[in-house]
Amino acid sequence: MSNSPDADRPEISDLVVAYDPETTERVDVRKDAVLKELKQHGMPRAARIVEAWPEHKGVLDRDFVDGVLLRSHLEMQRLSEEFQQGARLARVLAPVVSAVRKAIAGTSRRIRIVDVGCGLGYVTRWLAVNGELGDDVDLVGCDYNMALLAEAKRLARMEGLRCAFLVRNAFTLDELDPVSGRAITPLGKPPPATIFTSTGVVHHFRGKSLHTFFTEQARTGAFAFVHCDIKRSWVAPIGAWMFHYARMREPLARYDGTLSAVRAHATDALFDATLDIRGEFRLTSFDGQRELVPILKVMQAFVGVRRELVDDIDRAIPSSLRRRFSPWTA
Amino acid sequence: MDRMIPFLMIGLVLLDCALAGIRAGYGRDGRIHKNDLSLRCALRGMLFGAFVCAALGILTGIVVTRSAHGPDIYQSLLSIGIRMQIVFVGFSMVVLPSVALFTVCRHEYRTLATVAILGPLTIARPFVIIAATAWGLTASQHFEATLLTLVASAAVLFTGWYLDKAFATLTAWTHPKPAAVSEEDAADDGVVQVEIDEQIDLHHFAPRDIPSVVEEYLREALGRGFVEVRLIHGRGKGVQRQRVQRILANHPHVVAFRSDGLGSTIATLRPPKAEYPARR
Repeated sequence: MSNSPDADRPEISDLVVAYDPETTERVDVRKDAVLKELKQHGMPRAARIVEAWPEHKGVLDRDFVDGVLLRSHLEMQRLSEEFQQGARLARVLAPVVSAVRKAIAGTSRRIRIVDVGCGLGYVTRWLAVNGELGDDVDLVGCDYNMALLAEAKRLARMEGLRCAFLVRNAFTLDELDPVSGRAITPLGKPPPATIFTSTGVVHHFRGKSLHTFFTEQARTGAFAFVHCDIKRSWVAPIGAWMFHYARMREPLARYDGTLSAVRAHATDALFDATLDIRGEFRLTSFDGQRELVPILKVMQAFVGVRRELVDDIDRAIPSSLRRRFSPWTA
Repeated sequence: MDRMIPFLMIGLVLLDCALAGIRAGYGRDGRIHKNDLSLRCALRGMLFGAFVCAALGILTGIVVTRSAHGPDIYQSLLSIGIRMQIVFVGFSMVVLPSVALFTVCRHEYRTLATVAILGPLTIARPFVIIAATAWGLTASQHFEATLLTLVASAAVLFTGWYLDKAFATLTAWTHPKPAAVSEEDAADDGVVQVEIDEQIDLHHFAPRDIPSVVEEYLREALGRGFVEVRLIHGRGKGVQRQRVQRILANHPHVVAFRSDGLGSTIATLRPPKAEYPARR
């Protein structure tokens, strides 16, 4: 299934915040630049939403934008709750964690699950509460948005959860932070065996950046990744519109939520984007198969693992779920 | 039967307000554990519904008792009520099993229930109220009955909107604004980052890693020229304390150490010459 032209339209949330990729520092976003881009993509309704936002000397008000994003993410957490995203990820993650644990047995390495673009860290926090992943597993959520991360930390602290949230590029955790000079990996410890995860993030990466998204994970030496996202289908935009208009209040949440289903990558496109890492990783999808009436399988998980782990993962997958995984790439 | 109609109508309004309360309350609380949220929101919604019913009851009472055609107006209201209840009960017969399905099902079927059934029903709700009102009013024979019905329907129709605003105000009072977030707070993950200062909390590390962490920490501390450092190992049975103190005892640059009796060991270091370069 090829992407429609609408799939390349940006989401509002992709345009209204920007960060320096080197330092993760927030940079100013000019309102007229956002409006121009939205109009160029033929998105007048999105432009009207941003038009109403306050600005200072042409720059979007950061506090206002953060407030909108925070409220939108809280509303979108409802989608995660109603779709049971934590449990969905956990059932795919469990055999992967089991295989990684076996691979590092006998060493002092721990397992680290890194939630890329975690936002409010719902899935990370859910796993901390319900994941039953074991004491040797550390949960880390990464995002560039400080307001969302601060709320994620507040919520984790409030509930006494064992998980961490970092304003940092998720793919540089084992390197010294260029700004603070601090190490994330505790001193004297070997780097943990990392598994990258995300929920509803992959569709934000388009074209070359999607390839980079996967090659960066391989570069870090990660053992595996499990990325969950909306499954592309003809019914997904209808369902997304229905859900977001019934459940969301923020215009941004409604608009971006509906558009995200249009922008969802076809499973084949995800496989194509991993050609550069096929030498090290084997890939599969969970619920990624095409269906005539895809009303039950609205989410899919895209899984990549180091080649040597595949047999152990296969053995760890419960028989009830096995048929929902596609065959591993060669 | 006529006596039952007002009570059935009140029941339906309370049910609708309870569901409106849940809708208004969700998407504002990011906690994982919030089993009590649905109940709390439903009760708030019902409380508001009870207030609406009481206000409408009083208004109806005043109109019926003050008018010369009071009994006729009341009969007209009952006729309208019967028609409206046929619509509302039918709608409830779809909503309630859907809510039950959503509550019981997991994963894919739960998603189907929320997207394909509950979502459309939520969107349909105002149209159902308008349709029921329009059909009900065809049975009206008095202007007062028509007016009371329109007021009652409008009150129920705006319940969702009002509860939404009320919950938003409540959240704004109890929730910290994003603008109040400092960079320090956001950068302080408090769990796995290691910042070298004159104390280290060893609770963040696995017991088997403590020796290497202490060695590395001492190396960094000496590189920074610290003379006295505090290693926080906790109290407990003293296993961790012994482990830490054994390392300190064997370390060539630890001059002395002592327990503070509060779960920490304070070590005095001998500043090195140049063999402990800091990592930074």
